[in-house]
Amino acid sequence: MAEVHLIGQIIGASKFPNQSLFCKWGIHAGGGWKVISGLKEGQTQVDSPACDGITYWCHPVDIHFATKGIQGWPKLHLQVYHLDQFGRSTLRDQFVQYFLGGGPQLKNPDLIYSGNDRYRLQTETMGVVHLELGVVLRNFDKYGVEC
Amino acid sequence: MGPVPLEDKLKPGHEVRYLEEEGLHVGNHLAVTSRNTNKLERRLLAGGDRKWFGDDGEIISLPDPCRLVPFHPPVCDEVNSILDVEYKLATISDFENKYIVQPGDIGVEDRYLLEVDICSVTFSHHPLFSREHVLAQRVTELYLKYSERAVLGQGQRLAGRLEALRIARDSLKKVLKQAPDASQQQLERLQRYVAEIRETRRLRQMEGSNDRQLLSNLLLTWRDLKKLRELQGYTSTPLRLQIHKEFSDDPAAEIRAWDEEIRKEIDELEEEYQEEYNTQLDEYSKKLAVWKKRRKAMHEAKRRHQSKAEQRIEREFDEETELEIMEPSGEEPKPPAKVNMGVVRSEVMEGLFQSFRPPGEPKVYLELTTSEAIDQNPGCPNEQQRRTAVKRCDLYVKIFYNQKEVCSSHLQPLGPRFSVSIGQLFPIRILQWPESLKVELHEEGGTFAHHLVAEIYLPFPSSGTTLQNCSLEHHEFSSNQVLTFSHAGVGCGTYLCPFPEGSNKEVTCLYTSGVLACRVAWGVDNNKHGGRDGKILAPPEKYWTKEQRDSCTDLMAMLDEEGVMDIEKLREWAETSQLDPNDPRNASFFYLIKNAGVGFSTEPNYFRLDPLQAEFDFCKMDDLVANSRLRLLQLRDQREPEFRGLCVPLREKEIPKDMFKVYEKRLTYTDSQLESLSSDPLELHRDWGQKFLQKVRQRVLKQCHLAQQHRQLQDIVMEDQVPDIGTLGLTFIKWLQPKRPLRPTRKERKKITMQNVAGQEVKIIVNVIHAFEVPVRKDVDAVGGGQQAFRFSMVPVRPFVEVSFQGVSVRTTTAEGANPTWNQDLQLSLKSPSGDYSPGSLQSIQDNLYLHLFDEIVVDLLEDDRMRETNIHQRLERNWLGSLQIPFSTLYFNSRIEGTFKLYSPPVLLGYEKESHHREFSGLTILGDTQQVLPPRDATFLSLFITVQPALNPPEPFKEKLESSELAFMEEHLENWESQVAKQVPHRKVKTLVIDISGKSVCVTRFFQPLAPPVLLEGESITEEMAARFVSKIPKISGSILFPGLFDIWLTSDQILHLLSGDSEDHAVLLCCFLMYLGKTAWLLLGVGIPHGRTAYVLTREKEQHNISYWLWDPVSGQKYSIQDSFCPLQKVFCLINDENIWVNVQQEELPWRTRFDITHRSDWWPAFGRSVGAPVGSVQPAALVYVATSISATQMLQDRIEKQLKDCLMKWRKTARTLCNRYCIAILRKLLPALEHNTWNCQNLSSPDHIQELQHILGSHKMCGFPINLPYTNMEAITEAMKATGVHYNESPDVEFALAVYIHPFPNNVLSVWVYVASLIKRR
Repeated sequence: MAEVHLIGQIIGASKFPNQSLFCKWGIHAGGGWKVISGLKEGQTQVDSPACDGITYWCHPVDIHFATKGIQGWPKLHLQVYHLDQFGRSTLRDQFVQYFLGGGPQLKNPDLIYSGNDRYRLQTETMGVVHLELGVVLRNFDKYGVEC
Repeated sequence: MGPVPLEDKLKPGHEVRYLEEEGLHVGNHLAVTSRNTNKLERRLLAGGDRKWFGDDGEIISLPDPCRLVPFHPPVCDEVNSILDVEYKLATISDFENKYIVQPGDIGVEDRYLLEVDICSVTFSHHPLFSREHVLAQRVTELYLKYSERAVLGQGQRLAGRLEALRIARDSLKKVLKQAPDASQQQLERLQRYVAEIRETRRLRQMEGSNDRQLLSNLLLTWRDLKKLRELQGYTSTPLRLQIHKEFSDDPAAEIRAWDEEIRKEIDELEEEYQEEYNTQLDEYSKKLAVWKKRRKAMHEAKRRHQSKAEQRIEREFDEETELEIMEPSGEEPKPPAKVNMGVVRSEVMEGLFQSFRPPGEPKVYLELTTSEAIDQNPGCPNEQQRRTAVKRCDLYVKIFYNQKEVCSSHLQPLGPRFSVSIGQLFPIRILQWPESLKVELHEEGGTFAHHLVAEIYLPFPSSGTTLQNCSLEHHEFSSNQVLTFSHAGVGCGTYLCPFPEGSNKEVTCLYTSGVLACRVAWGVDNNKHGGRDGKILAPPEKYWTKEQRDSCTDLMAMLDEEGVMDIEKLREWAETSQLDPNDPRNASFFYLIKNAGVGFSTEPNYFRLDPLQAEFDFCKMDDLVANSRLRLLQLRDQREPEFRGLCVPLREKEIPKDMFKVYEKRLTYTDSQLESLSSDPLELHRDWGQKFLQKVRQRVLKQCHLAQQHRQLQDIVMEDQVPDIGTLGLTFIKWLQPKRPLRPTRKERKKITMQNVAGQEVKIIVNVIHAFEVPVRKDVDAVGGGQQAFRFSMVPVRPFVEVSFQGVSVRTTTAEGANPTWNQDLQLSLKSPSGDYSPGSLQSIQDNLYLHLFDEIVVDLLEDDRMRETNIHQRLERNWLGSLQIPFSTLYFNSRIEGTFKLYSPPVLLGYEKESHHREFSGLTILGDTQQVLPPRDATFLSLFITVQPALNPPEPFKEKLESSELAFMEEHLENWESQVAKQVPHRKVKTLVIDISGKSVCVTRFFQPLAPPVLLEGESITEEMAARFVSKIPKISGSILFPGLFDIWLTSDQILHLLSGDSEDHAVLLCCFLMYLGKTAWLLLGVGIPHGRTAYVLTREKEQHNISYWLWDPVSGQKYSIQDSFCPLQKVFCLINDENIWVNVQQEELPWRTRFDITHRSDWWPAFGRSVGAPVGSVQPAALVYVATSISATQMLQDRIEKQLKDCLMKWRKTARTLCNRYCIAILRKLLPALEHNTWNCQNLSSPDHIQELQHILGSHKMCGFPINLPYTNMEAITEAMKATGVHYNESPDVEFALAVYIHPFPNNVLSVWVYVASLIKRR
């Protein structure tokens, strides 16, 4: 059995239209993967930088997987939220949003884990999330996987 | 560049061929400029390779793949539904809590709505059923089954299938006949057909016989019912079965078909039997051949054996033959019997008659109606009684959500049909995560006044279910109630035969049962201001427990998490959806189901969506689970106590095999195992108490776990204050201020968060300031020895303090005199388990800080006086004078401890005496009013200052609100009062609601009730001192050690006696209850004392004529203090509690000797309960305590064991020297100990002269140094530790002798007081 240890941090985000941001993160792995220790998902604090273009979270990610195969390699899933500002797509939604807040969200968030349907999703780049992740592998060479 | 000549490109001797002209499709060539073509051709030719060219002299190329017309792949314009984006409003995310909506959050209250539509309740049996009803119910059930089968038409379906199979087989046979060289495949197919025909035939026969059985049953029951109606002369059920008979138009055709059927079946059977016979015959012939061969061999062997016996030379013997001889030749196989076709025929006929309608019999169609008239006035009085009972009976339902009643329906009459339509819709607005939904069926008026009929648990619908899209569900219910009646009602739970005169004489037991028809769905939001209609008000499904849903409606739901198909569900689905088994498209599906169920049960009964996936796997999932290293890591991550902070090795083989033993043992631990643990009743009781507390602790720890996760800002962010004008100004002013180095101001230390602690060393700093009233040596002259030692002998005592923590000890220098001053800083480092300095692990440190006061004695060893000028040869001895024990948790919670502490010193200290006694004896008594003179204090005091460096943040109190067993208004009142108190006197903590052992909060006043203390001495009434003594001998554990997070649990008196441990509050409650019984006015006093910080005392009031005096009792030590005593360890008085009220001290002063204790003064003591709200009535304490006498023999055994163990320890500690025992002294000490125990009961002076008198004989001949130690019995380790701490064994004198005696005084309920008298003796020269 091979093991993967992901350790690092979600440093922060930059170039987002708004700066009071927080991030919900999750690590999604296939069925043959088992979390040995650490948290699979979490949420950072809200950082509102007074100056500087970068929002810092410095949120630790430390998760240890054991796996029976390389299928379903862990995927990191990040959702960046902001505290509140406006700017939406259709007129009606903009209107609703202007008065009530909120934003568009996928009805089925699980969709984005697989590439099959994701390409059809029309998205717009909002900004950059900076990550620093160390990936420690163990025993993969035993099973003929070179890394 | 010109084109290449054609002949160059062709292979020599080949003609030019144009494929296109020959009619072959070539396709369009790619348009390439001729220049490029020529260039390429030349180059290829230069390489001398003609294989690139085709027969037409052109380069071989694929046709142009490009389309002429641009083409766009079809992309459906409508947005894929799963890609839908919806706008979500900005929300505050819910906590994963029991509550979905935080209570009090008004804006989102109607977010989740559960709708329960209870339609009707139909009883299939009810105690008020008459016999007729029972039969009618049976008819109905059978009819339902009948009509269900009729709809399914399984028989016809199978008949059709059989027909089809037969045709297929016949045609195949025909083919085979024509072509004699049949392929293997065809033969196999034939075989399969035959097998399938056989199977289908069997099935059809079974179905048919079932059908007929059912029909006849139904008809019989109906006949019974009719008979019963005739017999009793009235009808009380409206049931009527109409039987339609249909005679066949063409009886001849029917007979033909019947005969045909028989013929076919016989043919088939004959064929099968023939085949079977053939195979059996084959087998027989084979067996016969084997048998014959063996027989022959045996005969031969026999012959050889005989010849061998004659010769006896041949030693070698063929093993094989011997074996053959040993083996019996076996029975001669029998040839298989031929099948008698006559028998087969009759069998077939019989089978068909049983399962099919024989020709000539009419077809029967049944119809059940409820058109029968009911006789309104039956003549039978029993029946009339029954009917009035039915009329009186009303029914209603109650709905419970998460075990809480939410609503109930109106009363509905039961009615003669035993079917109640309720038809009410209950919308339930939910605030908690759904856990259970229960419907309770209640009955009123029928048999009893009111009773519960049945409870039905309903599954929660999936989050998409609304009332519009959900169908009516029928839930069956039943109850095991037993009832019998005198009237015509049959009752329930009794054995009866409804109609003994009828055909069915079976006696059955009927229980109340029935069907509830209801719908459960989530509400739909219709009137949202934003216009988002139709939002389903279901809580997000992924957070609540996955319910097992009835999922046979959806194929995808049958896939479980790993994509494995549940065959059972699949089969169920196939049955209900009525797939046509004859449809070739379904063939493979049915094949799968059949095979999965029938033959290959050893094969895995699932299929994988991706079968090749397994090829890529490194290992199986089980290997991951079985790997001990991964398991260890996982358990550590789950914070199981056994693995917390464990260092897990990198390789699996480095992990010891028994790693999980303790953990698994804990998981499978039961009380029965404990009983076999120890046979000693005393040990057992204590062990049990410990284990029980451990369990409670584990539970509490889990509860606290979440609360401890909440971190505050300063835990995470360390921020230095940015200097502003104000602070800068202050610094400038500081420079200008006059310097006063002799009057330093206190600087607040910065609290350090646990994150920052990690790298540093945490130290405990003990500043030992001074001590006073240290006992002084009595026989000074004996210590010194020679004349030169005179200067030592001048000094009455040379005390020093040794501090030990976690096995490390440091000591002060030696001071001199009875009131020494050291003023010395001692440092000890704190080692946290697993290097974790979080509050959670720090407060679980159970170590104590010990401070021991010793007297250092210098013994001169110099033998020769002449050498005294040049040599020094001395030995240092130490005599224990007293000790103090401070739990680390006290230090941690208070962050610093300072004050003057009374040392625990033995009641008798041989060889020492108090200086104050000295004075008394010399006549220096202070004259004055006798009331003012306090009894001479028998104690030594030590001034200390203890702190932790760097300062640690004390943990936050546990604030999670727990369920309360008090009424809501009471809870609210107490909370209000508490918050008002906190406003007025913020630092004085009061207790109003405390947690009992079940984890519910209870008002404190409920803990007080007069309780009888045990009888300690036969025939003597118990005094207060005796009660206090008894309470003080119950072992104490610090509350914070037991339950971290300042989460204290109060035990009731029977619990503390049962568990034999508790914290100071529990002791105080017990003592208070005893004192109340003894007629004292007693209160529980909460305050701050030294050295334990927050403690509980008992305050009593004594009235002597006009003098009112108050006394304080320390429940843990059993000491009694006057309120005026300035050395009383109680420092602050916060509040008083008794059974009537809670009073908080609102005076300026909180020192006990300055506080006024008249609780009737509202300005001094503010009560919680007044005229408007009274204290809750009813105590949680038991009415009386049950005392069990402690077994004397077990005590005696324990006493001997302790004595032996201590002696062994003493020898073990004195490794270098021989340990001698003075038997005479031991005998005397044994005699003395019981008297000491009795003295404590009467509060007498302990160092009474008789005590010394007894020892006078030894004291004359020996220099004796010793003391008795008294402590409650917890376990052996505590006693040995206490003795080791006194340092008796340090006496290195060569002619030292020891005396050691142990006495255990048994109190009732296994409470034991242990006395250890230890002394060292040196013979006087």
